[in-house]
Amino acid sequence: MKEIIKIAYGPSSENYDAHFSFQNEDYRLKRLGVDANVELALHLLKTYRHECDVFAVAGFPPILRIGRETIIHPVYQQLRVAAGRTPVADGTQLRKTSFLWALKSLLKREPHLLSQKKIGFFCGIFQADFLHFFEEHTQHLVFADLYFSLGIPKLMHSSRQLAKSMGRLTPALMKVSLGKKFTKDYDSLIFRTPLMREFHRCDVYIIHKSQLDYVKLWPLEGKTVIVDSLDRFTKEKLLAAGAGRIISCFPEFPAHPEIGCAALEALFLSHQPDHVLDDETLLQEVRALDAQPTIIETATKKKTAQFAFVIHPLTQKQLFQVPGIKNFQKLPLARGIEKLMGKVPGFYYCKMNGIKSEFNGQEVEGELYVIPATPKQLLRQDPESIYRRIHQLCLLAHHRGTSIIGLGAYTKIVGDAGVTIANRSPIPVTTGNSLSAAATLWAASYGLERMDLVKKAPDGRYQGTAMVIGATGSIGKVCVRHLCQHWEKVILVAPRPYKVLDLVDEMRAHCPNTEIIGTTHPDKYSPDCDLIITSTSAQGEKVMDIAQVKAGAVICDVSRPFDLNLDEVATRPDVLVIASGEVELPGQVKIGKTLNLEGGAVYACLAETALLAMEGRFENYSLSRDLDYDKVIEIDQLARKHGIRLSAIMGHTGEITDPEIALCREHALRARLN
Amino acid sequence: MNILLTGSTGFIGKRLVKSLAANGHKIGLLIRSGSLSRAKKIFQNVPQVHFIEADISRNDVVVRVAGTEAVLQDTDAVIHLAGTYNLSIPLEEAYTHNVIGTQNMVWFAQRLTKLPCFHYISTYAVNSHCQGHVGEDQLDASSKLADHYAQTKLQAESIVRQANWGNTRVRIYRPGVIVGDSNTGEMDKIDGPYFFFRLFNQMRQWKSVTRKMPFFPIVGRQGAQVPLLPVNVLADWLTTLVEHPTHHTVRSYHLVSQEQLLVENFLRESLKAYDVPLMVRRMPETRLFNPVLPFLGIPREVAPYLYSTASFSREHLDEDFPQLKAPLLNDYLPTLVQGAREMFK
Repeated sequence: MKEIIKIAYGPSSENYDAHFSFQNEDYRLKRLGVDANVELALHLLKTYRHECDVFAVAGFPPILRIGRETIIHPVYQQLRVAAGRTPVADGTQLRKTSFLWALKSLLKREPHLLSQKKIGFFCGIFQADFLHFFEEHTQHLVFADLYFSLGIPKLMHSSRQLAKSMGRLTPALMKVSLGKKFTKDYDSLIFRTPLMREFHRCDVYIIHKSQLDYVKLWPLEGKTVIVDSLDRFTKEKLLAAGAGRIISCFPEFPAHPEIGCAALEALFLSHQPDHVLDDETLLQEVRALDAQPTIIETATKKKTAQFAFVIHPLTQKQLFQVPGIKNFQKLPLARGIEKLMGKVPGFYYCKMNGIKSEFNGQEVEGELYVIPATPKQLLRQDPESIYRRIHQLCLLAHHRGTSIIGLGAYTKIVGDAGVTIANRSPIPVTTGNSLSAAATLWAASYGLERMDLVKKAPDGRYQGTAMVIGATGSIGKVCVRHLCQHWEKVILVAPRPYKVLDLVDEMRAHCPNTEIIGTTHPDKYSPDCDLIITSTSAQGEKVMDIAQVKAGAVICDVSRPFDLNLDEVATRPDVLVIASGEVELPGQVKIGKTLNLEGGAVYACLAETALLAMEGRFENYSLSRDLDYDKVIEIDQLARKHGIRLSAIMGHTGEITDPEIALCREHALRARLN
Repeated sequence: MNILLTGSTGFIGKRLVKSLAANGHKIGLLIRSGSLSRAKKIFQNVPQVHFIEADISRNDVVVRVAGTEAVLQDTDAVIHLAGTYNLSIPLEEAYTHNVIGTQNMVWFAQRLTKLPCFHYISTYAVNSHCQGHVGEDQLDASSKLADHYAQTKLQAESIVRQANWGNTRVRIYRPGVIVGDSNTGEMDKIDGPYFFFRLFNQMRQWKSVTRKMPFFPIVGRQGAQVPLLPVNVLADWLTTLVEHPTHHTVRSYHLVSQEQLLVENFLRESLKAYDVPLMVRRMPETRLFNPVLPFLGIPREVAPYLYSTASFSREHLDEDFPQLKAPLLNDYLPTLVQGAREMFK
């Protein structure tokens, strides 16, 4: 039997004396906590150095690498000397090998774990070897080293900054005796001041196991915590702190939960005949374990994710709903007021709450911001001035603690469709176009199914013709790509011939079995079409003649303002016109003020922002006019997963009920007979 | 019964061995090689004991020689009494003997596969920081106690409680403040109440001073208790407890007198017994007086005990062993004082 004595810097109340077999060998692992008393640790090492095979020391300062310098704490040397010829394992070597390896394999499984997340380090210098890895994945690093080593409420944001300031301070820190200093209660008033607030608001915390004993853990509540190793006591402490998700870069040993990083390294070390553990051997040992990182999802309520969304009045009528200027509507000044309001900076409008994912129970809260400009004003003004106003809202939203901002309606059309804003904004930006496109396609397929006039081939393709007006646009392109895979014949319509030709070529390459025709005017082909999707920015100008459309056709009017006006639509009761777009969020959604939408429906672009918050994907998602088809597919899957549904399809005058569709179908059948 | 005992050469151990031997038990004494000759001298008249060379601060406790293993496996009870008792002890020593010693003894007892019962002698001081009623199962392993002795005993008790015991039953005894023999007044060392006895002893020689003193001031909190127990009573109780363990898997007992004794009353009675005609008066409750204590020959570590109003419950003891009653203080105090005076001569 091999004896391992683990001297831990931590509390003595966690001592144990465990007996287990590991890789066909009997071990006795005895833990002796010294309550931060270095003298006691040295005494124990001296007393027991002849009685055990390997020492494991845990929680004492390791060799630190700050910038190019290697700093060895005097205590580290004293421990080595006290241990004499008995080998000492402190877990740093194992941590260096396995920590990043585990994190990497974790990121393979969950690629968005760190992206755009704010990552808080309680003591960054302990993780100095791994910082470059985190810096590859996110720009938002927060180091609280100065506070936890000296009590100074100053946060640092990059490894360079950390190396610079800690490099200067370490010579002084070396002289301070360990022990008392590091065990003082860190939940002081200074810790709660606004200066430290950024640290409290991190999404992911990286903490070294030994720090758990002397740091107050309340900021961890509901957050993701990454620890280097997870033994029984660490797990209990993190669960008690209410961590939402615990990730340990270390395999769990259910049979002997006491084993931590240092102990495992000691086990490996005891295998070696000459008591030297080089990287190569370590690598083989770790591989032999077939180690996987441990992830624990706790039952504690997760922190409510917050998103922001920018809206604006879609018509002059909506603009005058603002109480203060209601009375000006009837005066001849109305147009002037509209113009004036177009210059007013954005402001906070209302809150949205009660959104709760059906998949992971993540609660989401939204904040709505308004730019009181009508579409006309937005399109007329210089994009730069709109950017500026949206940027101000981004700053405001960031200040109010939201993690992602969505651009609603025309704010996303302005300029380069969100790219400039995303570059300037402190928080990720999305236009929500991906879900808008997906929702349109949902609505179209729902309408087609209900009308039941187009036959399906055995391979699931519709045996009919579909048309996309505005095919080269952002949503249009995705619709085209989708339809080309599901229809026999697709007509692409766009005003600029060169763009149409380009798109036709592209689509033919993708879907050689589909007949694809490009045109600049829809009326030639519209009599043959079973499905027409119009997604233009024609500003209410007439894009097609509804009179020529085939009876029983389904038209999706995605554009805002609509491409088809109400009177035109009324002349064709045998055609199903869907305004689409709107979806329903999961949970008991409450919106502070009206959005001029029916029931629980919301804009699909708003839903996308909420969805990204639910999934924890705080990243720039849909940007620019080129919508990524893969993203649409992905968001479609995410939406289904989290319970975002089509909220009854919408027509120009409101919700289209099933009896209405049935009536439309009857009209169509009668018209076809004639 | 075959009993293994640690700490047999100590103040309690000597009496416990005699008490157990008187009831006809065979006792194996785990003794450090350095104390072996001393132990043989102490127990030369006790034929039931045999000596096993051991050191609880060693990882494997017993120095194995041929034949030891068979003797060990045939044990009916292990009593772990060893520990360092001294309020002013340095941490290193307390940690080695109390924490590591207990850890090793637990390990050792776990290797005795057929062991029916493990008896561990803790102390009432593990809860000395509490106020008010203290239950016999109460223990907070993370609490910070004033002196190294209590702190290490607390850690040791939590090791015993947390260990995986299998079929072995565990008994934890928390004796109160142990004073000399209630029949002979014999006492080994100056400790606890004896610091006050020493002070009173000196005061008798300063009659000119005491005569002018208006009263004898005491510090501490109103309602502070001192759970005294004579050592011979403790030895008798432990013998009974070891002989008749109840069916519980883990059971802990406060070994304290049924009489709840206030510090004030104890000092008043002791002054009377010392013939010092002084009233006892409580000083305002402040810790400013604490630095004065060392000048009076009372270690600073005693102070926290004067502030603890914990009252130690005897519920388990009364339930399982109602016959265990301690003699009343007034009956044995004169003997104690007599014994103390002889010691200070």
